[in-house]
Amino acid sequence: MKNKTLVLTRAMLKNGGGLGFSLKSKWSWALLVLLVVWSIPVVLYGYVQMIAFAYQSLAMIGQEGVLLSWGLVISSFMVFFFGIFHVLSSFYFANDIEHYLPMPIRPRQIVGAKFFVIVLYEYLLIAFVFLPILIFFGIQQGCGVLYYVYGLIGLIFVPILPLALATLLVMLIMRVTNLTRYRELLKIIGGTVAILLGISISLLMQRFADVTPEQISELLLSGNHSLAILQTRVFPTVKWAVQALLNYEIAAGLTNLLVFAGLSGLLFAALLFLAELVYFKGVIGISESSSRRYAVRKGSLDRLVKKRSAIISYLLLEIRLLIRTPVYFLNCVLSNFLWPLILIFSFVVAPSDGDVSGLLGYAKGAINDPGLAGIALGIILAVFAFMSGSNGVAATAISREGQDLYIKHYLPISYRDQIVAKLLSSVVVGYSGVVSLTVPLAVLFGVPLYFTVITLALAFLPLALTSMSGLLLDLLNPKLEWDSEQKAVKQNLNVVFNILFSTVLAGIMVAVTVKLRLNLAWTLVVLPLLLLAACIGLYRLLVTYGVSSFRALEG
Amino acid sequence: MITMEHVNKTYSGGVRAAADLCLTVPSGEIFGFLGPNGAGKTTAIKMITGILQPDSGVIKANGIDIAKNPLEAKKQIGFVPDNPNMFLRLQGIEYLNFMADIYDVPLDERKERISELCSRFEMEDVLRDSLQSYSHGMRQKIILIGVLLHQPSVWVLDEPMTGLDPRSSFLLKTMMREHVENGRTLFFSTHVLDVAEKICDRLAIINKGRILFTGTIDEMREHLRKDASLESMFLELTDNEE
Ligand SMILES: Nc1ncnc2c1ncn2[C@@H]1O[C@H](COP(=O)(O)OP(=O)(O)OP(=O)(O)O)[C@@H](O)[C@H]1O
Ligand SMILES: [Mg+2]
Repeated sequence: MKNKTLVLTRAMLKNGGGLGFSLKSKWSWALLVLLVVWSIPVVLYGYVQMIAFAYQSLAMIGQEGVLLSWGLVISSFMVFFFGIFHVLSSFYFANDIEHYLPMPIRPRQIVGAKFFVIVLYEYLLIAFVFLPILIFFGIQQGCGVLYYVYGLIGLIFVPILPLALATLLVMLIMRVTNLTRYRELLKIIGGTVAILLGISISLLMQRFADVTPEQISELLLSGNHSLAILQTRVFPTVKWAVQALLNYEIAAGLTNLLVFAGLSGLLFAALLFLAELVYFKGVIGISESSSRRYAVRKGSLDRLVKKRSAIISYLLLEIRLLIRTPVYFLNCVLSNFLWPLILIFSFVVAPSDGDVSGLLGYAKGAINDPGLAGIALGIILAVFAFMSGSNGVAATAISREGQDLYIKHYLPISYRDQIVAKLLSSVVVGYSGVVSLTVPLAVLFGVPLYFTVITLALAFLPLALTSMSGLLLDLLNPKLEWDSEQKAVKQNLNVVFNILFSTVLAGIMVAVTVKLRLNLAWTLVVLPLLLLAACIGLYRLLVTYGVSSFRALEG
Repeated sequence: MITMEHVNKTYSGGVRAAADLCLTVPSGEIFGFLGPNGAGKTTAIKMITGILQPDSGVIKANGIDIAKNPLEAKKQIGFVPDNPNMFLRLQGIEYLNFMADIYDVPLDERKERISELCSRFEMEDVLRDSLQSYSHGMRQKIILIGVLLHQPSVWVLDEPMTGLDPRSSFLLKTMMREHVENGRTLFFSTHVLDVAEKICDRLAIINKGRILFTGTIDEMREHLRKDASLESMFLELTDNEE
């Protein structure tokens, strides 16, 4: 008998739940290849430099082993953090679940298969983070083949613990939120809570992992690599992986590796057991929606009927879809408020002494110092550009239409107006993120009112610019063939391209203000002019190329 | 009135879905568009409504060229697609407001139309629910209402009868008749021949992108020189074609 879990995994991978990006034109392929070929060595080079620096510093105190545990802990961290997003959208908000529900499949088989698919994704991440460290350490220490074998085996098991934790967290929350009538709304809230909880747990763990100087000196005295173990308190199983790598030459290495693999396997089994109990109860009813069924009386119907201009009505439609579709909300809207939250959280959670208050003081000084205020403004606007460029509202605005795009062809609203409405939706979402970041920070840093007002007023420019670039990218190569909404926003290369664009843009903005050492007055002249010119240029492209490629899209 | 002149369309896969289509849909008559699966009905309708652009040929709605003056042409048309699964995350009333905004229906008029149409289709009770919670037929009805808000002078429907219960289907047929009696144009595709036989004043039969016949049912009987049912004539026409 074939293993159903594996059959399911294969089916999910084939259905594009897997790694594949779909690229229609050869151009985008070429662009992607170019990007990868060009950027990977650069990024890798910088990363290896960092690793080398860390290694040398640690070697001075005879604690090189810490490097391995850092690598593993950081990998686990990232898996946990991104795992929450992945698990939410693939376990609970993907359409394919509905196909599996009527099939004679057990909950643990679905969970197992989906888990495997996500694990495959995480391997990419881990390979990038951990492999360079593994290899660097191995070369420096002149390790034997067995070390690399152990390393690769360890790598296979690394994502299991953090991903299982993320899955457990999400499954429990989803089970609880499925109890009432207002499921869809609660799913969104539940997802939000899961993400917030994930962030706070990560931050709290960071704090927990802080060690006192006494502990360190004690460990320093007690000999080689002992510090490495301390770092792993956060993800306890990583300890065995590190031990296995450090002791690969002796039997203890193998024992530790087996313990590590065994524990991960055990945890996975526990997860499947729990899935059997709670998964279906959380997932059934996800497509049900509440319906009220009360008669709309004559008088009240009149009040419900409203007239708006076509563009505003279209904008409202876009925003409603963004907020009401759980996957869009989590990926495009919530992510805007994530950065502010992380920032504010880290100030609240972080120890009040030392670094943070120093940073606060420095930032306060910079904003109030006329010489530095210009640079501060440039950096802040650059951050806004990055935030809005990475939310994906504009970069998936056409892709999100999917097979329903044809509707937008027969409605009597011009393509230009549709483009404007879609741009506005991106700016509105981005701006609400900007406000939620700026206002609390302004209070926290004691930023002068005029500076806050200037910032909020100018924020429109980077937001408009990155929205236009995103929309243009999506108009030129939209991803329209999808069967579950998550494929429209995740696995959409236009988001990646727009993140790259906004990173470059942010870089230019910072470079201009810093290199030219602009004061506030000059920054207020130069940056807006530059941004405005770019906006006008991109807008011209949108109403020419954008409109004609919109018209030509066959949905 | 709808006119298509020498319209051609070949999909990128190589399927020729419209081959030199010439068609005039006069106003004041119910015009049925018949053909087997994959004949090219939906393709023709998509070109009329501005969703697809023909490779060549001219299409006009009330004399307005859809290629030259798309917005004006689209405003003439009310289009009911074959798949009613759209705008599922909107409430019924939100969808209706959206359509009325896009078609620029004045406030008083839309209030009147919404309450009249919703009571005719018995949809008042669900206007505050999301379309997701509607059944297939209810979705069809709300889409229909949305399309009729601006009182289109050209009404285009793709397979409108499937999924409607007998009462709603009867209601739709009544409304189609009312529509043309006011001197307006109605063009709909179907493969339900019984329906076509009963309500169409005129029909066209299409197969493999070619129009095989246009005219009334009586003219078809003359053309084929036999007194048969529409079904047997349809089968004969679409079968001989190779
Ligand atoms: N997007 C597309 N890409 C490629 N070929 C298509 C596309 N849409 C339709 N076709 C092909 O064009 C032909 C006509 O399709 P069309 O949808 O117009 O048929 P239809 O008459 O509406 O059929 P049905 O009665 O099944 O609705 C078919 O052969 C179909 O395979
Ligand atoms: Mg069809």
